[in-house]
Parts: sequence; structure tokens; C-alpha cells
Amino acid sequence: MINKDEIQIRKAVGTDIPFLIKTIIEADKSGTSKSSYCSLLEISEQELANMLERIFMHELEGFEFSVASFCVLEHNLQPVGACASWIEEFDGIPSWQTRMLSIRAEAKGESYNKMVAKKDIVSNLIPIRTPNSLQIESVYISEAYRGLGLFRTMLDFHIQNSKAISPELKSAEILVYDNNQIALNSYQKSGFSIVKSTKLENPDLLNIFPSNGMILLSKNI
Amino acid sequence: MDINNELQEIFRKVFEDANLEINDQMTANDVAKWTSLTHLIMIEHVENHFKIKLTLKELIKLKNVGDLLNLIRLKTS
Repeated sequence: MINKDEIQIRKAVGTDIPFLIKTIIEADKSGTSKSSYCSLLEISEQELANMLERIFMHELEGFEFSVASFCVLEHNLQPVGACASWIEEFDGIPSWQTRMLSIRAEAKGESYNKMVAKKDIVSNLIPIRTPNSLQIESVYISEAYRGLGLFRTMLDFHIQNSKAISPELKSAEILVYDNNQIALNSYQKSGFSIVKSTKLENPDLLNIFPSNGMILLSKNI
Repeated sequence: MDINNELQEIFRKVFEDANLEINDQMTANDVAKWTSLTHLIMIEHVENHFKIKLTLKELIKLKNVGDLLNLIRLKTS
């Protein structure tokens, strides 16, 4: 039996990068076997992990491929969960721009071309994030540690730290695939409500993403 | 043709809008087909057309079309 009181939370550091990469990939898979990044770029999970490691080395901020965005849950000095956050467009740059340009910089040419060729399939799936809201992204908790309320622990940690920097922050947002009922329930239990959703009919989408629909949830903070 | 008009032609082609008129404050929020992936295609067109290379550090700072025009002017001067 795991004692929740023995689990510590802290900001991520450089040595966490392998666990953060695992977190991003598992969160991207959304409880399925399909990583949208692997499908878009037509690469293996190992190739994706290598690419993410190179992106982390740029030390960019304001999106999820950044050590500075993450908190880590630790038990017996081992990472058991992680979650990213940032304030959307804090410096006037939308997170999608930093995310896609960093992939452009670090994806191999052939993979990059395969991703760009899918532009007509993937547009309009992801709801637009609200500027100046706290974005919660890439939530992952190791299986043995689920059901302990640790998402709420990470959420509160991010809110507290972000409000210390930006006291005028009013809302937090989180994106989830519409077929991830477990995550959806967890987020709603933590006070998030659905504000936007997409559902696209293109059957090719299901060859790329875990679902053809996404939900944006918001919470006053 | 000046840089402004040349960039406008690129935008019209990439974002598939023959009547699109760019301005300094314009962002992806103002153009229907300006998505995360067409943004990358637009950057490729800019690099090829103006025969310049734009780095990640330069590109991630761009807040609007005005910033992109300034960067092109800087790199082509």
C-alpha cells in the first residue's frame, strides 16, 4: 500500500529529462497505443524520444517540451509522475508556434515532410487555447500511483507557482481526447468544466490521433 | 515588387486566399487557413523565395506579420 504522504512534489530538473520524455509520450498516447507525434512524423517511439531530447536541449519555454514547464512527483527518490504547465502567450507567442518550430528544427527531413503533408487531415482538431490562461499539459502518473489524487497535487503545485509569478491569472485549461473518459472524469473531479470541443469526421484522423475529437476544459483559479 | 507585396503573395498562395491583404498586426488568428502546419509551410516558402535561412531562435520570437517582415528585411539587407 502506497502512503501518499511519502510522495514529494518538486520542479523538474535536467536529470528528469528521460522521465519527462516518457511522460510526454504516454500522455500523447492518451491510454491507447497510438502516439500522434509518431503517427504524424511516421517514426518509432525511440526516434520520437531522441527528437524530444534534442528539443529539450534548446531550453525553450512556454510549451511542454521544456524542463522549466514540468513538476515531478517523487517516491523513494524515483519519479512516479509529472505534468507540465505554462501561461499561454505569456510573451505574446502561442505555444503551438514554439512546439511546431522546435519539431521543424529537430525532426529529420523525411519525417518532417511526411508531417507537413498531413496538413489537410489534421487542421481544426485541436481547440484554440485561451491567451493568458494557465495550460496544464502532458499529465502522467505511473500506474501503481493512480487513484491517490496526485493529479490534484500537481495541479495545485502549478497553480500556486504560476500565481506567484502572475497574480492576475484567472483560469487554467486542459486538453483531452474525447475518448479518454478516465482523464476526463479526473479533470472534472478537480473542478474543470468543458468549454469547447471538436469532432471531425475525416476517418484518416484515427490513423494519426487516439481520437477524432478533443475537449478543452477550463477551471477558475 | 517590395518585400511586403512578395510576402503577401506567399501568404495568398499558402493560406489559399487570393484576396488576403497582410498587415503588421496580423496573426494566425486572423487567417482561416493559418494553422500550425501551414505556418511551417509558409516559413519554407519565405526561406526559398527570399533565399534566406531562418533559425529556430529567430522564428520563435515572431509575434505577428510585422515581426516577420522585419526579420526578412534584416536577413536580406
